Amino acid sequence: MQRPLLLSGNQAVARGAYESGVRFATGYPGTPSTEVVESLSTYANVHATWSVNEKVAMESALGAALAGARSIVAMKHVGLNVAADPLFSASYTGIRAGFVIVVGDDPSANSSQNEQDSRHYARAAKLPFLEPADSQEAKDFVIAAFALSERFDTPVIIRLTTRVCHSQCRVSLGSEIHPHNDQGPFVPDFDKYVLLPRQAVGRHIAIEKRQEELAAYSDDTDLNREEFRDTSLGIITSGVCYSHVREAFPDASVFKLGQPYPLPQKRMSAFADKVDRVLVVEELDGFLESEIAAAGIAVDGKRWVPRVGELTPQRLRSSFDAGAPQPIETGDPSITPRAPRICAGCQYLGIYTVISKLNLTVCGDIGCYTLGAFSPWNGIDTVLCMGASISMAAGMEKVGRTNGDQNNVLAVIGDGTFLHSGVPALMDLVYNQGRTTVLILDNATTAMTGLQGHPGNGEGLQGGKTKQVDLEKLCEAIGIEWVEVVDPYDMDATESTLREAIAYPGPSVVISRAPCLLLEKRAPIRQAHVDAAACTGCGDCFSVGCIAVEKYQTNGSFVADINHDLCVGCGLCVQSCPEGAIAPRLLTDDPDLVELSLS
Amino acid sequence: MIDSTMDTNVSIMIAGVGGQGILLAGDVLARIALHSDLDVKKSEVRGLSRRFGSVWCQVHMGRRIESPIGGLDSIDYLLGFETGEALRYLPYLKDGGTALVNRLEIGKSVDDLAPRHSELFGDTDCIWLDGSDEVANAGCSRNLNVFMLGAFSQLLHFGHSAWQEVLSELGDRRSRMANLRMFEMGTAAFDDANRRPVKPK
Repeated sequence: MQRPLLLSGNQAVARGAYESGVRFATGYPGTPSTEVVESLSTYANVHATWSVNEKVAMESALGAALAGARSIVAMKHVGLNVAADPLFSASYTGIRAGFVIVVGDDPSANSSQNEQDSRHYARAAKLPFLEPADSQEAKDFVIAAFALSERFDTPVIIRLTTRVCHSQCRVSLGSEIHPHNDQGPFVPDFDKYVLLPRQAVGRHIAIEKRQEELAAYSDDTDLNREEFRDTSLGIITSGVCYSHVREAFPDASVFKLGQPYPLPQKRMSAFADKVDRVLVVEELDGFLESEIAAAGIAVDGKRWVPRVGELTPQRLRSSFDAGAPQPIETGDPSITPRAPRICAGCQYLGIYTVISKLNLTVCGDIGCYTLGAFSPWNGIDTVLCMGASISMAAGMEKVGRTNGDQNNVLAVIGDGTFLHSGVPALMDLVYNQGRTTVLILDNATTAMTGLQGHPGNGEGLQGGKTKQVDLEKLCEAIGIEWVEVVDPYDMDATESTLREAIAYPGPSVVISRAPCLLLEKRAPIRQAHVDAAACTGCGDCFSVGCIAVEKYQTNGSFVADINHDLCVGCGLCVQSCPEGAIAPRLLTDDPDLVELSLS
Repeated sequence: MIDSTMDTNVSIMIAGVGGQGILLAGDVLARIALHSDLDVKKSEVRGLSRRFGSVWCQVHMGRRIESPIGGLDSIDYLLGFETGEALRYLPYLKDGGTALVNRLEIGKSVDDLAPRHSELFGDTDCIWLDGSDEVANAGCSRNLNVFMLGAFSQLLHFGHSAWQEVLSELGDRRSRMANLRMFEMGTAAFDDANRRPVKPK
């Protein structure tokens, strides 16, 4: 027998999709779900792509399912908001070949702007969801989800949380000889696939019937499982919370829900009858609790199970013992927090150093550049969701500008985020005669989630260069008449261009263009050096915020010092020094390093 | 010392600063458990490009593991690759747990913690290592993670060949050589530190 492999939940989902004979996989990168599609792109016979956003991904994958190929789409929780429109109607059209939607929720908001509970979407869109507790189940449940999808003519949601997505556990693989599940080419079915008003009502009737059938199936399936131990306490739970429950309450009877929605009402009632007291343990909202209570079963749960933040066995147990939710577990709060930092030499260092001088209200967006909100720049005033920088800035500027005032609002958005959902906002800005300045940070990749391709860099997921969107031409075509490209490593030029753009009496776009340093991975050819005798310790170089610029203590005062393990020789600190005490030096084999002039 | 039969589960938390090879060290621990036919679950913080941010990783191994994550006061071994991060995650270490801490403070400016190390770590059974200095002196600054694993290996009961097998699966030939050297150096450093009375530098 083959030894089990260590797989993350995301890798296991991909493996399950492969074993299910998936032919089309797409999504949009976002922690914690990114590796589902990335991992699937490595399997033979799977056509895997990054879509421009989650809505497009959901629609492409449904199209592929209607055209007869098993399809899977993956996104993070907030991505499902973007894809909510097709989600609700895909419930109405149903599928032909199996269609599985993977969504990664992020309790504790490790890498997200909110802690939303995506299970509500299943109820709202009338779709079944499955929730695996570990990697083995993640693989097995995907296989079950495809069968469920085809049996009941429905999209099926696999709901994951960060802890399941990113924990690595042992997985025993199934057959690599994947079955051929193709349903043949698309067959028109007007009343099913053309959702006009009359058809929609007809489909709604069918969907309500499907809900009843799915509830009956839930009472039948072994995805749901009763484990009887001591019957004085019975705990209903699902997903990773099951493993916390097993540690925190090893003797309790457990009803483990693999298919939590629609709920297995009959079995749940029977379970409740056999135990003295029923608890519901779930992270985030009391979704199961309200469903179970609505089924007339007396339960206890969110009265003491925390709604905010991730659970652990210890936090679960201490909340139970206290009869009240206990706070999120963190390290010692007296130790100075260590936030993630912008990489040494990143173009954003120069950009935010300039922005912080301009005294503007800055609407930010989602990407590495969100870190510009931190000290020393404090360069971002709002972060909401993908693409919101442009539209929020437009709204602010509309009501904030009185007659003759200069625009004082700046939108800052990365290239990937701009293409994801910033483009319609820019169109709106032009159409509604706004005059906001939009700064597009073009680093030619989706950096924060791990350097994925997008239409702006034309890198296909499974290799191969595709067409590249020309950002300048796109902005011009939308109707922006003032577009300039700047080199973010020249802070003076960037500052004067930005000032010009802000003064321009119409909407303007500045594109800051420099590839992400992680793309090139080249050893630096020069590095900054401090002349300690010339350094006055004024600290201006720290305002650039580069982690390679450090303080060197000398008897009560300090001078700047460059960490040469980190310095990539970008020259930004050199520009920031009013004393000329920092200079770039070419790295050569010659021990006597060559001094270079800046220009 | 943990017996290789692993009658009780063992939980390990590695804490440090992004870029120190924390997740890779967790991979090695998870693999050696897997190779020893133990159940294992590994969990970590990831995303938002954790470069130079606070990073941790937990590995739980034993006959049967349920939760992939342990909360406050539950971890058997804390491996601190950076002193401040070890202090940050000290509340996760359970009473009677053991900490292995590398003497290194990244980003210290005014507050020098070193004179107060033993006071800060209180009654914790704490083994101090000069890992960063040792690997730097050996020209292997990037291999601190393997050095720390070498030291920690003295507290687990996996055979030497099991460690070698897992380490040899990582990296190219050149980095494999460095890894094996730093692992041995960590092992020796542990024995040395364990012989001396626990005392801050």
